Amino acid sequence: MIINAQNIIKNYKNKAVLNGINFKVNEGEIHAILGKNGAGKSTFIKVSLGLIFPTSGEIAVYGEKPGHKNTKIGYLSENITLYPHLTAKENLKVAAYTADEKISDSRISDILERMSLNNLGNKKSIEFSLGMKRRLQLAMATMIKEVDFLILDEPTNGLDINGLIWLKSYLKELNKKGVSILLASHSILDLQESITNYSIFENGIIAKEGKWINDQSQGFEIKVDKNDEIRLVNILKHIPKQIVNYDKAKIILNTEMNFKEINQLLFKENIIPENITIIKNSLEKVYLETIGEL
Amino acid sequence: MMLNYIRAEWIKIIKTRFLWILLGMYTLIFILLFYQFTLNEGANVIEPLLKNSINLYSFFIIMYSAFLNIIFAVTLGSHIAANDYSYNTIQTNIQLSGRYRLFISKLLVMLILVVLFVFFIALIGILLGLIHEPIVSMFSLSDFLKRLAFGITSTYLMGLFAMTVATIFKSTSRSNIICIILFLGQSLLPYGSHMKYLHYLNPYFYVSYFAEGLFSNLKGLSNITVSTINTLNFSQNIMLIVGYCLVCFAIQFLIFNRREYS
Repeated sequence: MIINAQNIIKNYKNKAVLNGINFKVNEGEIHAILGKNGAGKSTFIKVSLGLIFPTSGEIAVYGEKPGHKNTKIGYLSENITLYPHLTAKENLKVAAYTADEKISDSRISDILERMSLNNLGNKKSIEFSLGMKRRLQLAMATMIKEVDFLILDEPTNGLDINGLIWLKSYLKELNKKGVSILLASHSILDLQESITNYSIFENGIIAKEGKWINDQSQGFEIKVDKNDEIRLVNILKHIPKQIVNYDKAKIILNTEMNFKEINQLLFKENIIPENITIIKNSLEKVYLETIGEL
Repeated sequence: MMLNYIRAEWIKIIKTRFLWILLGMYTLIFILLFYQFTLNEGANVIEPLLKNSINLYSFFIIMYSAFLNIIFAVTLGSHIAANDYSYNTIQTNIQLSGRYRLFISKLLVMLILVVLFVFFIALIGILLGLIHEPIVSMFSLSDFLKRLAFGITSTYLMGLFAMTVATIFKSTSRSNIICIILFLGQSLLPYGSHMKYLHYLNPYFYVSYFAEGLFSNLKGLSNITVSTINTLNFSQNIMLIVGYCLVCFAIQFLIFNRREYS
């Protein structure tokens, strides 16, 4: 287990920002923390990095106290954390030396090339666009030292469409290499296809958490002949573990059955569907349902 | 190994434009002073000092009379201690290096820069001294080294004070203002020199008191510091300096280790 937090409470001036968080991140996960502004996402991330101390509760990162030097953790802050008067190369060097790592000029060139910043090595970071700054920061978080666990606070901030596509594939690539990732983001839809687990923070507590399988179907929308509608609804209602909604000629079925099983059922009952639409699971929907806005 | 942490701090500071502007200003001011003295316009102020000192590095001493080392120590100390707050890099740096390593590397880089700075002044002073009066008459290596040590001690103590203030306030500009008012306040106040109690409110008094006490046998020092009353012996002065440093270190260390970076 990478992070094991038990009953974390953090108060600021008698106001609870974290109100009894129990949270775990295991090896191999890409774990997303979702929540509104002020829900406690960034505070929890900073507690797990040892930048903020909990008022009470226990937290261990790789079994050690947060902030322990020997853990191979990369961190991308939600803010721009570059030295504006230094070039991209110098910023990478400073980050490497600060992490007590040696870094050669050829390694720096490799990193810049991988981040599509290869012609900008000698340019001062103040002259970079927001997207370029985020790429450079991500390079500093992931490439200057060996990283087993990556903590990303709002990684999509400032990224354009290309940057976003690149980030998603980069996170998947890191995860394939065995890097576990914890990320907090407002942009749920942008990253939902990359994550494996989620936790929804609401008013300092975890309102919902679970595994996330992006391609898992949540159900089907079935359109059949009007004469068959009632018959089909009645058949479906008699099958256990199904949730059937019938409204205005639309049959919405929340089921664990797959597409083939649905087709076999309709064939068996001699019902010819006009259309079957797969409704995919949406993290946005799960989130909105959890915070009560749907 | 602290070497990499020091390298990181070194790159940050050495690439800062203000450091080079400061050194350029220093050089310019000394050249201007040099021409003023050679034209005898400031001779009545400076001559007694020159006569009391040794020709070869007389300008090294003059430089220390200029109070510019206060500006150097304060601006540099404040910048080193607070630049990571200004650039928002404190969180990532603490995550990368750990709290105490970052703190120690800043103290060491300050020391290295102060040493280089004092050597830089000595070099310019010697060059100008040689041009002014190219007769090496009374050169004493031990006296010269003592002057270097005095310069390093007093400048570092002031820099350390500025670092402490900058760490408390998390701001370079606030620390600069506070320290410059504290160090130079007495000189800036009209009739301030007649109000002796002001000495005791002025950190520069303590810094110069400690540093002067260490090198009390140096000629010319009484003209350049505010204190001439240090009657303690060498070891007592060492203890005072160590105590002063420990207090500054302890304040910074406690803040670095207990502060929350939200």
